[in-house]
Amino acid sequence: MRLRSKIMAMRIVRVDPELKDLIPGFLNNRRQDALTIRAALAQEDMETVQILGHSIRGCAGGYGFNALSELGGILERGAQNRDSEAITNAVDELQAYLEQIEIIYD
Amino acid sequence: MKEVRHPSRPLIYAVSAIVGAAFSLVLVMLAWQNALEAEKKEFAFDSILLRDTVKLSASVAHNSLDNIAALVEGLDASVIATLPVFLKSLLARHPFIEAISFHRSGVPLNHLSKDMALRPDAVGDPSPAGPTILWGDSGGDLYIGRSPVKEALYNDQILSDPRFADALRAAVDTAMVVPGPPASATRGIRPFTLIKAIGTGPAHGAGVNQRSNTVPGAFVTIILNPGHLFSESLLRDDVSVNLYTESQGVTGRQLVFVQRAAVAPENANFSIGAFKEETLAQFPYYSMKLVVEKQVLWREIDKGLIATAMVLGIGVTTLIVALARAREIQAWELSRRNQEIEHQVSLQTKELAVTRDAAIKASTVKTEFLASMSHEIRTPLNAIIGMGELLRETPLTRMQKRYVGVFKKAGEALLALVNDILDLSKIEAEQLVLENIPFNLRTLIEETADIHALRADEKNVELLCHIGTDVPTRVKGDVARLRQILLNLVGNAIKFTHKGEVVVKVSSNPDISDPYRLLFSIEDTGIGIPADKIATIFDSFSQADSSTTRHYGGTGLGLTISKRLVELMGGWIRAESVEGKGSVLSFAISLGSAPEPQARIATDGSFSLKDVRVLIIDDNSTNRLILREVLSAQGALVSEAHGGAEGIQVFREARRMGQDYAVVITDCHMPEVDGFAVVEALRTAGGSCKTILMVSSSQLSNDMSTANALGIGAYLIKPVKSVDLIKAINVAMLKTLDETQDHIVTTPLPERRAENLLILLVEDTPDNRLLIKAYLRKTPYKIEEAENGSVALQKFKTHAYGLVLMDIQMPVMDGHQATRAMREWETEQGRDPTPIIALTAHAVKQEMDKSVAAGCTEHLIKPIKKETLLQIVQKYLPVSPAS
Repeated sequence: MRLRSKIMAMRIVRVDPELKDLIPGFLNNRRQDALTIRAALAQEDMETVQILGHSIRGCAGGYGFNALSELGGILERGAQNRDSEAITNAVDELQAYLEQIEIIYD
Repeated sequence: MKEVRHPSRPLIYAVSAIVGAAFSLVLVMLAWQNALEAEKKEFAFDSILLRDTVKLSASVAHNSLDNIAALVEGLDASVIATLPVFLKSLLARHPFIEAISFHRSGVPLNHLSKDMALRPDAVGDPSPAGPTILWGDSGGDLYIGRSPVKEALYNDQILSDPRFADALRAAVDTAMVVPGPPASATRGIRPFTLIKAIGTGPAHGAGVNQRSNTVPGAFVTIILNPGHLFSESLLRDDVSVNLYTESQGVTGRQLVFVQRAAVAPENANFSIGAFKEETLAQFPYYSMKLVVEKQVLWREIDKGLIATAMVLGIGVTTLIVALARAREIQAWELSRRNQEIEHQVSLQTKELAVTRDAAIKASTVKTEFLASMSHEIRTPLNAIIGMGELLRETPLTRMQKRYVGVFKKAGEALLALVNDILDLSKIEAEQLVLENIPFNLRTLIEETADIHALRADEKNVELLCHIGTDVPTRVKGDVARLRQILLNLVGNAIKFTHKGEVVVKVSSNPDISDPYRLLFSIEDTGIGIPADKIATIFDSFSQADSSTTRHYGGTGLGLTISKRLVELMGGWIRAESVEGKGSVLSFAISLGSAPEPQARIATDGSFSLKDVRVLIIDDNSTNRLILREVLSAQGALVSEAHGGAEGIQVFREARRMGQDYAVVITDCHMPEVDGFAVVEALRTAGGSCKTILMVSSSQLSNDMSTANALGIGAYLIKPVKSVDLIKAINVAMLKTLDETQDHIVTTPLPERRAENLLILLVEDTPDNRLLIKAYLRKTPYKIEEAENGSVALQKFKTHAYGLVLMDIQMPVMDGHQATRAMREWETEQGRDPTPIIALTAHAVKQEMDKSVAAGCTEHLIKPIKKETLLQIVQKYLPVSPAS
């Protein structure tokens, strides 16, 4: 389970204190995204998964959530390849990660 | 065909006719002369006898007289009486002696014997057919002859002729035979006397009475009948004969015999000439001359030869004329033919010119056709593809998205096919002209690899470049076509390889000393090419398998075009393969030399790799080899490790031995222990080594963030370029963690305090917009937002911004398009360019190039660090530091 180990290796996230206000909203959005992805996956709506994946990939890194960024990429690719398993995997990780995050502002 | 009249040239004919005529004339004249000569000879021959006879007879007569005189001189009268017998015999023998007489006394001859009775001789003449001889004597005178006295010479005419007396006197004086004057002619005959005095000499001549005709003395005379000098048979009637006596003193010339040739009147006009023969019988006192003349009549001439000559002459003339004519005709024919040939040649030249012009025109048409076709076909195709892209960015249902995907793919495939076909036609039509421009070979290879890097990585296939160290960097050639060939071959290799590696190798040919004859080979560990198909893969539209098109796509023209291009460059291309194991596509071409700038693989001068200990950790041996080569060439001390586990082990060993590695370069994706684990392990192992991570471009954004978090010194994007490798080491050794981004500076920095602090933020993701705004919260800048390029463009046109932050991947209008549009508008409006900073997730060089090409001032890679952003903004909109 390489992915898991990798993601968990990045559990501790260092975030710019300037962004402190934005973080809750950000994380909330991502939780939303996870739900949306699951729903889309259930309907085999790969387009939505791809768009969301892309989006997550794009913005997570900026906030400092590299693991999220990586997961977003996996989701995007998985949607492109119509790989439901990969998507499921990733979205599981996503949700788990969101719960386990530890943010340090410095 | 109309018979062309040969124009006669009179001069030639005249000349040849004249020549011929002259010749004939000469011939005829020769023949004529010949004939005449023949006649003359005949005549001469004929007349000889006559002449000789006359001569002889004259001589006989003369001699006879002498003899008689001699005889009589000593005789007395009694003997003389016996003379008649002798004289008779003389007469009988010589028909031309008419009479012989003897005069004793000086009685004038004219008194002589008038009354001498002449009586026929009855004595002694035996022959009954003999002449009637008369003789008489009186007073001692004697006469014997054929005719009576009166009919003979002793007629009045003669005797009264003073010439007669003169002759007598001459005879007395000279004591020689003297001729007397002839009698009158009877039928052309004039008998004459020959006189000889006897006895008395000149003494007796004394007292000669000059005036009288009486001459004293004794004389013997012969009367000659010239007519009988000739035998009848000898005297032909077609000759003219003149007989003369000539004595100077006395009678002069006297004609004694004349015969005119009997010429028939009808022949009179055909007389051509006359032959003349003369004979002279010379005696002491006188001579006798015989002139025989013959008229030559035409009909007598032997015309055979003349006729032959004439015929010959005419023949020759005809021949000459014919010859002349033939020559004429020949010359005329020749000139006519020449004219025709010239005409033909000029016609053909004209035709050729027309054909040539037509060919040139056709070629021009072809070129233009190709060019316009090229444009005509690509334009709608591009529209299709472009529209597909635009369409895909719009809100679409799942089904619509799928359909759009399908036709976009189809359009792209079609475009690829069309491009290939047009390319091939161009090459085949020999419309292709190779460029010869200097370029950087290494850069070309690495760029080409870059283009395929993403795809290779997606398939988990390593893409490596291995450029020999003795391969020249700067060369001259057609860079676009070479790139085309490389792209095709590398693309094929990646297409048909599902695991393993694709290596692009460039080396100089060891066999040929020319360093610019290079061998390129693309080796892959792909599915290979079946042995029976390998020969035909370079043929048009052939792929190894009919299913290949279905599975792998492609037009089947790529290799054909590559082959043609290589051959155009004067090289060769070949393929080797083992089915299931892999293939090697190699080609060799000659490039030109280009001035080589100082090899800038060396560092920026501040850092040398000499004796630096470097550890290379990669599970791909080829990649390790390539890196080793590059670093060793720079003087580094290189060690290798296969895979993460070994790498960590080697590192720890070295550390234990006190020989730390200064730099560790590790691949990111390795089985079991990957690059991240290695870095982590190295960090815990301690030491001050700098780590460089090699990441694939596709995972750049993901890996990078991880890399940053793990404190990696620098990163290298695969396929690794030698320049970047050195740079990366530089960066790792000298720079701090923060500055690991590449900044491409393209415009000079404004050296002033910014006046316009309005920033346009173009980004589709709301979270990202929030992020950036948060970053810039504590700054004096004001931010306006646009959620896509189109909105951004509109805002750009209405407000003046100090800076634009442009996200690239956006719907409706992406960042590049928007940037381009903005730059165009600025040019139109004559405004200074506003700094546009591109924000992109892709760090591929291609992407960066595109940004620069679109007109972006700088390029930032997402995820963006706050400090980085602030620095950039400060650079272009300098303000006093706010935080």
